[in-house]
Formats: sequence, C-alpha cells, structure tokens
Amino acid sequence: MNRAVLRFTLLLKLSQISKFEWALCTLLFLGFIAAAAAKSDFAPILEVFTNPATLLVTGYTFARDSALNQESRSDGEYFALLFSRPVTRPSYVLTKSVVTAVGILVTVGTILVLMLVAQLLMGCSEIIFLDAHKALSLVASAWSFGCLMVFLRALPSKISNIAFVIFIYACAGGALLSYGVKLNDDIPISNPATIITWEIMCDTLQQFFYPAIDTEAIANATTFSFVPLVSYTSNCLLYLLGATVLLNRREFSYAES
Amino acid sequence: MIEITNLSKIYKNKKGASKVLDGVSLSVREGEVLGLIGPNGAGKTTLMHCMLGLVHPTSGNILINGHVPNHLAVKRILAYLPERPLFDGWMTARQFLQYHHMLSGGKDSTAKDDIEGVLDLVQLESSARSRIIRTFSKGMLQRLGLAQMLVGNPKLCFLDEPTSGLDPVSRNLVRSIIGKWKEEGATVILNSHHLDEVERVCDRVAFIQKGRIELIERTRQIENARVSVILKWTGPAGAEERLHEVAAHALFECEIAGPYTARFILRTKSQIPVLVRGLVDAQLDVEELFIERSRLEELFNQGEGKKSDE
Repeated sequence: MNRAVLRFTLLLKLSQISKFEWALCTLLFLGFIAAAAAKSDFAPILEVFTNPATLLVTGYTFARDSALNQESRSDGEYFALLFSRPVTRPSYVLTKSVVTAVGILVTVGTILVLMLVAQLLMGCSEIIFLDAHKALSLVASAWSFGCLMVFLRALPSKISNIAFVIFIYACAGGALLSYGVKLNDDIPISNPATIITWEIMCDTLQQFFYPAIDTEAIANATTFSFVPLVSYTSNCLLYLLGATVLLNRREFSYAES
Repeated sequence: MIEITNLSKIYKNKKGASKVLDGVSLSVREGEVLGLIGPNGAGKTTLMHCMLGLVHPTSGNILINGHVPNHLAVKRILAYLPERPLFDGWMTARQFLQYHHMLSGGKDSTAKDDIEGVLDLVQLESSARSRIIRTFSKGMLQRLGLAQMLVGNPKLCFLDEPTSGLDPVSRNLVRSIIGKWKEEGATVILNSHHLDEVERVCDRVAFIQKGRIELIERTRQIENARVSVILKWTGPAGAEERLHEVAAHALFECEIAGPYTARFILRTKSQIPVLVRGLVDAQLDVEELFIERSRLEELFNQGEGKKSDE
C-alpha cells in the first residue's frame, strides 16, 4: 500500500464533502430523533444501513477513480506523473481499496452514531446498536466491498454498470431472502424464467463471489468451517488481482488518444 | 544507462492501427543530455512514455540500468515533467510537493527543508506557495512542475516541452536547472520544439520522424556544421567588393543575395567573430547580421519537406 496515495486520497475525499452531505446527515438525524420519539423499532433501520446493498452503493461512490477507469483519457498526463514515481500498480489498487473501505466505514459509522445519539437523546429504553459480531462483519464487509468496488470501477463502464446492478440485485435479494421473503409468494414476478434466472444469479454470486462474511454464523456454528473464510479471502484476492490486471493494461499517455 | 532496441508501438482503435514508433534503437550514456526533436506526431512523446514505462511497446526492448522501465529501481531515480501539467488543483503548492516528496520516498524529517529549497530554486514567489494550484498561471505551473522533479533528487530526468508557453525568464530558469543536473551528472532526456534551446543544452540530438530516428548528431558536430549568415547593410557605396575581400581573406563563401544584402557561408559557427571583425575592419554600415538557418532547423525543414512531398 502506498502511504502518500492513501494520505492524499483521504484528504481529497475529505475536501469533497459538500453541503449536500451535511444536509443529508442533518435530515437523517432528525429522522432518527422522530423515530426514537415515536418509539419505533430501530432493528430494521440498523439492518438497512448495514445491509450489503447499502455498503455496495456507498463503496461505488468512494471507488470512483480515473486511473482505474479504462475509458478515461482526459487525465492521462496526471496519472503519467503519478506512475512515473515509485508507485506500483498493485499498491495503487490496494490503496484505493483501503480508501473505499475507509469511506464505507466512515459513512455507515457516522449514520450509526447518529442513530445511537438519537436513541440516547430521546431516552429509549432499549438501545439498538451494533454488537461485536455485527461490527466485525461490517469491518470485514467494508474491506471486501472496497476490493469489489475497485474491481468494478476498473472494468469498462458498460460492463461495470451491469455488474454493479447484478451485485445490488443479489445483495438486496440476499437481504430479502434473509427476512424470509419468498420470491414467488411475496414479490409479484409472474414470469418463471425471470425467477429462475434471478435465483441462479443470486445463488451463484452468493455461493462463489459474494464478498461478505457473517462472523456471527461462523462463531455460533456447531462445527467450524473454513469454507466461508476461504471464500471471503479468495474473493477479495480475486477482485484485487482483477483490478491490478486491468490497471496494468492501461497506458497513461495523451499520445494514445 | 538507457538501451532501446528495435522499439515499435502500434496504437489500435476502431478506425484502424497507427504505427507511432517504428524500430527505434537508441542508447543514452549516463550523464548525457539528449534532445528529441521532430515534427508534431513524430513519436517523441510516445518514445518518452515508453522509457517511463507508461506506454507498453508493441515490440522491442528498453533497459534502464539493466532494468525494465517499470522496475522500482528505475522509478526511484527518475523524474518527469509532462507537456501538459495536470496537477492536483485542490492542493497548495507546498502540499503538492509534500505529496511528491512522499511518493519519491523522501524522508519526512527532511521534507520541509527539501520543499522550501526547491521552491527557492524554481523561484516560485512566496505568496504562491500556500495558494491552491487551481489558481496558478501556466508559468507558475511549469515552475511547480520543475519543483516536483527536483524533490526526488533525480538521476534521470525526462522533460516534455518544458519551455512551451513560457516567458524568457522562465525559459532561462529551465535551462539553468538542466545545467545544474548536467553538472551533477544526471541524465536528461529533453523533448522540445525550441531548437536553439536543444542546441544550447544538449550533448546529442535525435531527430525523429514518423516514428523513426532519422539522425543522431552531437551538438558539437552541429556547432561545427556549416552556417549561413545574412548581412544587411546601408552603406557605403561599392561595399560588395569589400565584402568579397573580407570573405576571400577569411576563406568564407560570399554571395550577394539582393540589394544591400549578402549571404556568407561559414564552415563553423566559431567563425562568426572572424566575420564580424572583418566587417568592422571593412568599415561597413551594418544594419543587421543574423544566422539564416541552424543545422537543426535545416533538419526540421527537410523533414517537413518530405512530409509535404508525400
């Protein structure tokens, strides 16, 4: 990982926080206060903000990077200068994944802290917040989604967008299924072919490429299995490797265009 | 230091393929200042970018100190100034240099002194040092670009059109920095359209056209090449005879190119003082005396001529 790229990318992201983001935080806080005053259950809200789909969307905004974007030509000279320095492309990819993971954690963390403060301010009897397992899962997911998003951003934009939609679909699907929602019962999809495709897609992603890990399930399992850990690690490595291969292919020169 | 063997680069896009470099072979010694000249689109920047490891050659090899250009050992000693400096506009000049100081592996403990040192060297005014880069003029950006090159204390410097769009003071600054590198034994690759500048600072000049190196000459050879000097005078009458006498005495060729205009062909540039002395002795009222065309300009024009023939 490159210390300079990490430090200055984080500084850049900080400088990019706009009034819109501050306004959004204020609105969310007011919403949490209202929910706490109405004695609403915060468990579903916590689920929404720690849901993989939320992490995915957050990560997508943080992973935006012109060096990774295969179609970006306008700032070739900028990256020419950067990569003329002793910065290896794998270290660049790794750094951007860390930045994305930090971005996800800071965003979700801020929302969860606002939720906690709202509950404390309104004197809720039962405080809903992350337990140790959920916190660990969140950190692990932030890292893996960071890797995934950097990989998706490195793909040509058309493929990247399609892949992003599929992942969102699968992540949201995963969340719905975890709530016991049955596709054919609760979601009005009438075409059986669509249902089958949808299920195959979700299953495949969740079985092979799903970048999250449920630490609670691992800890509470009667027999310890390495499979989720191996799957998680190999997926993260796969995304990092994919992004590095794609970045290695890029040429940084205005002469190219 | 740099060994390039049979380097080719083909860019492919939807419209087809275009060969930008075609079998380039070149070697650059350590401590040498090499100028790359050639018309627009000749492949100079692509060649430079191949040496920087930013562009993947289609075929051929580049070795810098025995390593491929992307090797960290190479990146640690090189610095690059792009033709179109696109720096981080949101940073201040000091932050930007701190960034490059870190990127080049500089020690945190020396960062502040190193940065102020290079800012002094490039003469960036104090008020600009804490200003954000977005507000900089072209000249200030170029000075900042030079400063970022200097922070890493490089041994191999690549400059792509470093003086384009600069005022004479800034151009002199660029020249003096190249001179400093030369004194320190750094290797410099300079891509420039300013032929006088190339002639002045480079040890050798490579003329590139259509992706090929057409010619490599030592600047001393260029200095020693024939020079055409134009003289314009206002009097006295019958000066033509005196001019022929001056030429015959110093073994120059002389031809009357028009009314009150003559052309001298000197064997080398070093004969210019002899010519001037002769003209003073001949008591001519000289209006103007200038070098008609340098050797590099000739090369350039030959290239352009070939281009238009096709």
